[in-house]
Amino acid sequence: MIEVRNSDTLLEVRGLHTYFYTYEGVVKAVNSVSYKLHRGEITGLVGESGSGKSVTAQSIIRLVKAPGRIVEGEVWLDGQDLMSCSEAEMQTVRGRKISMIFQEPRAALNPLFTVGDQISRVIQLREGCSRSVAENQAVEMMRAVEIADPDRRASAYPHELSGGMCQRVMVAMALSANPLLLIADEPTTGLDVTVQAQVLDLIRLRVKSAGSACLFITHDLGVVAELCERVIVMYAGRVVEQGPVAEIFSNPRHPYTQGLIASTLRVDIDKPISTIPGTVPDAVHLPGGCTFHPRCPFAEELCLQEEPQMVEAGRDHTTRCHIVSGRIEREMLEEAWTLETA
Amino acid sequence: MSAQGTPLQLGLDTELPPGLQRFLYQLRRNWSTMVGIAIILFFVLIAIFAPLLATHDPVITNLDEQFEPPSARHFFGTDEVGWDIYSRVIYATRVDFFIAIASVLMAIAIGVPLGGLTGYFSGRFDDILMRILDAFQAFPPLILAMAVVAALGRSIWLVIAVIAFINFPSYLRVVRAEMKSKKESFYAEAARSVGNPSHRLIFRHLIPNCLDPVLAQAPLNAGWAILVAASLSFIGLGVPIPTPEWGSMINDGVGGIVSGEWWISFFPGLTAMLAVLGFNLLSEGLRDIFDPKRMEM
Repeated sequence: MIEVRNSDTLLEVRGLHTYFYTYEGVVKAVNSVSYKLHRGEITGLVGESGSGKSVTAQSIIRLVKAPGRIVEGEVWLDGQDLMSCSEAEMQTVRGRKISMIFQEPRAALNPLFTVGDQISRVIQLREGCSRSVAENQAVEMMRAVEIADPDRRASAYPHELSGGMCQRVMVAMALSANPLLLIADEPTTGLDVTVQAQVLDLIRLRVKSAGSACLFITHDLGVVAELCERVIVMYAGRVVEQGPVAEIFSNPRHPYTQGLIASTLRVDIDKPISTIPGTVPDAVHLPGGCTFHPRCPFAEELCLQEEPQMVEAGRDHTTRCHIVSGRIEREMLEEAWTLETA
Repeated sequence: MSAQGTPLQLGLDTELPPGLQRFLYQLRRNWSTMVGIAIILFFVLIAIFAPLLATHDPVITNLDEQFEPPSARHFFGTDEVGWDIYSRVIYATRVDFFIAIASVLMAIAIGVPLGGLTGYFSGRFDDILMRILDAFQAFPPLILAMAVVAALGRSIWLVIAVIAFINFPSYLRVVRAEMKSKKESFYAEAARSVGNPSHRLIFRHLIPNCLDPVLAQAPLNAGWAILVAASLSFIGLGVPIPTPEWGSMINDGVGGIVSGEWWISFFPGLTAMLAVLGFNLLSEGLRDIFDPKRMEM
């Protein structure tokens, strides 16, 4: 593949492998993952639980928990190779160049400090300014994420605020560092739908106006369709398909992506909801060949034996499937999904 | 940390921070804590106002008034050198409370940071440290204290240091256990992800969250410290004479119990018992208050 150096590329992940060395065996949580994130763009990272989404994010900021280890791979952020940084350099990257928003906002805030305190500490850390200046900025940040009455709320403890309010605080904290890259790990899980929409709007607004990039981890395709420009689909530690959102949703090429889209609830079309049969494979004993073959309605002999390579499937659209690459001649019918569950 | 912005007023219609309000609410529902606090406060006041309360100088002997029984002149009687038991019991409060509080603070100062570090980093360091502690704790604490004081000489500071040394493993263990769960929390992860180095994460974010059991345990250890100090003094290894101290006073009166001068040992013994009871009740109550299962109430 010819490498195109896009000046808009902010983050490039190349051949990332993160393995967990457990008693039962090696779990390849992230297996040869490569992608690029562009400035001003929100990229959705989707997949079922256990597909390696969160570990991918942890690997970028090099905070993979033991027994996990980044085995191989490069992560370039704005021309800086994060994998060769010292731990001290990484500490300046975290919080300043890369910020994270977590799911479970209330658990992600320290219960012993007021929320204003926690935001102002991030500001102090970044700017080295005085406490009172940071506190004023923290209130301004809280105003920016549309927290009503920020002066009073700044002195509230996390348990005194609602989940949605805490998530706004998290967003304020993450954005107060003016990060180049914002990683949001299922930030709207567990929030009311209305609050969810507000938080999404907030993230979109801030990312666009700051020209930063955002990696948005979710299993909610509806959110991806609404929020993201690009989407990366992961399955069992591998990227199986990636491309622009419009392209992926209108023309999904990988059977797994097709299954995911087919199993989302549609109000506009009268069709039964389908599911993908089976479950995510055991992480220690991944099936050989294409890891998706036990659940794939189109699987053939080759899929059991040989792992498919990433191939072009359209403009700026790649996928990992023997049918797309033409190694197997067969048509993928959308009806396969509805038939399977009927 | 009190709520910022709203100044803490202490008028009649006070607005206390919600955390303190809940604390006071729990306190009112918990009679053992109330009694415990009352007893401790009583002793603290005695210690502070000892010069006003005492009727005699605690260390000036008066051979004209040996073995006087309790009377209007000597409330608790006198001993073989004519020391006024009442005045000495009053002054001994200062010594014993100082030993109790100083030894607990010292034990916390050693045990909490060490427990936080070993709980956070785990691994080989943790294994070795915990096995050393196991070995220490397998040794009878009072014998250890006796050996140390006998070898290094009698002084109040040595007594404090020995008691702190005996007590610090219990703080280390509770903080270590808390740390092991708190370091996996989302807020620990969040703090790491904004670039906090480990030392700031441990000391600023995590250890303050591990202190609940320490607060419940501190009064218990303070009461226990009084017992150890008294025991050491009782066998002649504690605070040097003539400093008034409950344990050594009990020791002074041992002979008198047989010959009828019961008051020499009785009053310091009663006082020490009351002080230990106060600390134990306080600890019991604090444990209930900090019990996470009762937090919702």
